[in-house]
Amino acid sequence: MNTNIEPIIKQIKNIDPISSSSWIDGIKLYAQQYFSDKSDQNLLADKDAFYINNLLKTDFLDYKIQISDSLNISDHFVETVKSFNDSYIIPIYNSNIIYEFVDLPENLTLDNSAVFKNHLGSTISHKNFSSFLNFLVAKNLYLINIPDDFTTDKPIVFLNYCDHSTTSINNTRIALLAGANSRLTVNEVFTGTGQYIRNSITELFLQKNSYIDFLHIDDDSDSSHTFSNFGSSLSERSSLNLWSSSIGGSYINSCNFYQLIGEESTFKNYGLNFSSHNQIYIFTSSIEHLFKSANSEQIQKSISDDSSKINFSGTIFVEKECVDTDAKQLLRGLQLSPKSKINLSPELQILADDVKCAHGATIGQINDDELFYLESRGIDKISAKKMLLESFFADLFIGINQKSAIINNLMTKIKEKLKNV
Amino acid sequence: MSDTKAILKIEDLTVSIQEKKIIDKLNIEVLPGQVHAIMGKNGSGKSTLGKVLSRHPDYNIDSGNIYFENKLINEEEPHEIAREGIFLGFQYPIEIPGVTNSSFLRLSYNSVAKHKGLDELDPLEFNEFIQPKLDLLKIDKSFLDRGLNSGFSGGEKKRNEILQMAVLDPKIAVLDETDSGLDIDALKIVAHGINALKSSNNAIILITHYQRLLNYIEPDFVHVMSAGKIIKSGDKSLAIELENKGYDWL
Repeated sequence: MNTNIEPIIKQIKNIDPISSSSWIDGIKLYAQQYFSDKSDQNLLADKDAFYINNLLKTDFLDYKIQISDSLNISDHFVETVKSFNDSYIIPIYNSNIIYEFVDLPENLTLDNSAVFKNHLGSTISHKNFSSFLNFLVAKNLYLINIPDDFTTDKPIVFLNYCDHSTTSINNTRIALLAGANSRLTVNEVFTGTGQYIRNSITELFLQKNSYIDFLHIDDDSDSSHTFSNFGSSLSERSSLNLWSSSIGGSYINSCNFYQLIGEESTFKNYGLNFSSHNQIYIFTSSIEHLFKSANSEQIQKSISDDSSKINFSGTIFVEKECVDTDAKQLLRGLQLSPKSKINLSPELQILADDVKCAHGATIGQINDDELFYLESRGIDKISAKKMLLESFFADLFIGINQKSAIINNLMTKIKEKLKNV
Repeated sequence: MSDTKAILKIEDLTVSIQEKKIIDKLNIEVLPGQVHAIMGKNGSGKSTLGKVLSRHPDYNIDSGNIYFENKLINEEEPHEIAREGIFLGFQYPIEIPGVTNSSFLRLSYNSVAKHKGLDELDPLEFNEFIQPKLDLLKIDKSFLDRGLNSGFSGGEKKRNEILQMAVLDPKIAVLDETDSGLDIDALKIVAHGINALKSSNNAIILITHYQRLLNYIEPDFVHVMSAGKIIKSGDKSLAIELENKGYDWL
């Protein structure tokens, strides 16, 4: 173990080990509170309720909570860690940081967990299913305190790896506090093998004038079920550029909260969600302008193929007095098969005057005129379709200012998915 | 199977879209080295002819045959037609912002080259290959890095069509209102490009409303279409006559 590292990444063990019966109780409580009066109008929300009901009825007791401190890490995990040799890395295996593989810049200062006390949980809604359960049962909470004026020359990667030969539940909770004037690039990758439920919370707290380029990738195993919460708060003149991509798993329920709490804070989010087979992706996004003169831009693109379904509900909220707000939101969907479904719901809630807010949503199929144009130049239909699909999301990743294994890996995965279109 | 020296031979072609007849028993034969101009009022079926020749899926061939170098092509797919050597210059070129012009042009070239049994080109080789064609059409190299037709002016789009024609080196090019939206200088550049690509081994069909294009690209034949048929054919003087008298006298 790297003894310099452990104090930096604060591991809190003040939550008692819990049993799977706690999960069952928690789920029942949640289901009673939040699903009993669900209307039938939203198919995917119903699917969510249906899914949870199924969990309650069937084999949920077979899922084991990961509580062991002694972990037999797999060779594949070690290989995956090594593939990030161009980055600093915090490897998390079945919800536990594996300290012997942690690689972080030496000049990070020691953690002071007191600084987190006023922040933790502040960006996340406690009323959604997954955060409710994570608060209930999370064993480990990892805190990364980035000091003021800190900069890195390489991305810091959170590698969240779930590896299970038996059905398991993983609760991961990470919080990162970026000190004033710090600048960093952070990548968060969720991946794994086997059948598992992943229930994760990530919170970012950007202090004054800090800047983060953040790349979040959901690439879980084909049989995994994911509940994800991502929260962030942006203080004055801080900037968060968030690229997000969901391509794996069988079920993703992702709740995302972005709070602009400081003047001239800037939030940008560019996302690609690409579902196929029977994958179900449910995203909720809430961008909250809570201070004047803040800017946000969100472009989320969704592609669904086969019988998969994507639901994206995105809200922009502008609080009273938050004048000079500039918020833009664009949601686009591309359905590749008649059985696939996409539902996009943009929403503006504006309580202030003198703001600029724009939003829009479009869902369509591959454009026949574009397809014919490419074919008329000798490009076969399959290649033409791939070209058009790549063009659909090409603009999303233009701004990523890093060339790393993680980006290459993401692009390779997306191209693999395109092969099956 | 047709037995002629024609690059393109169309026999009694009848085409409909959504059960509406657009082309009605049309016949035309185009030999190597020839330039044919097709003129006519709006809605006479000129553009449909171009789309049918490139096998647009919306247009059904009800009857008749299309032969390309003696091979019946009624049932071929658009990309097969293009690879064999039929090129359609679009009246309204499509904008595809996320596809760069260079990757599109290279993939097009390589698709056709592979079909012809030629070597495919890597990006470096392709840059070398395309430079003289850019020079011919007075196109700056930065043009290649832009999204396909994305944000292009009308003139740039039409020049890009002719650049594609130069890259693919077709046996027959059907240019649908290539002159529309061009100012005089751009028209001269485009016409100069087309003339430079013309040879005794290929042929060109110009679909146009105006005689002015024919001042720069001299046609061997001028045909007038009306209600899906060719109602009159002649030489270049017919185009001048149409310019003076309109179509109603026909």
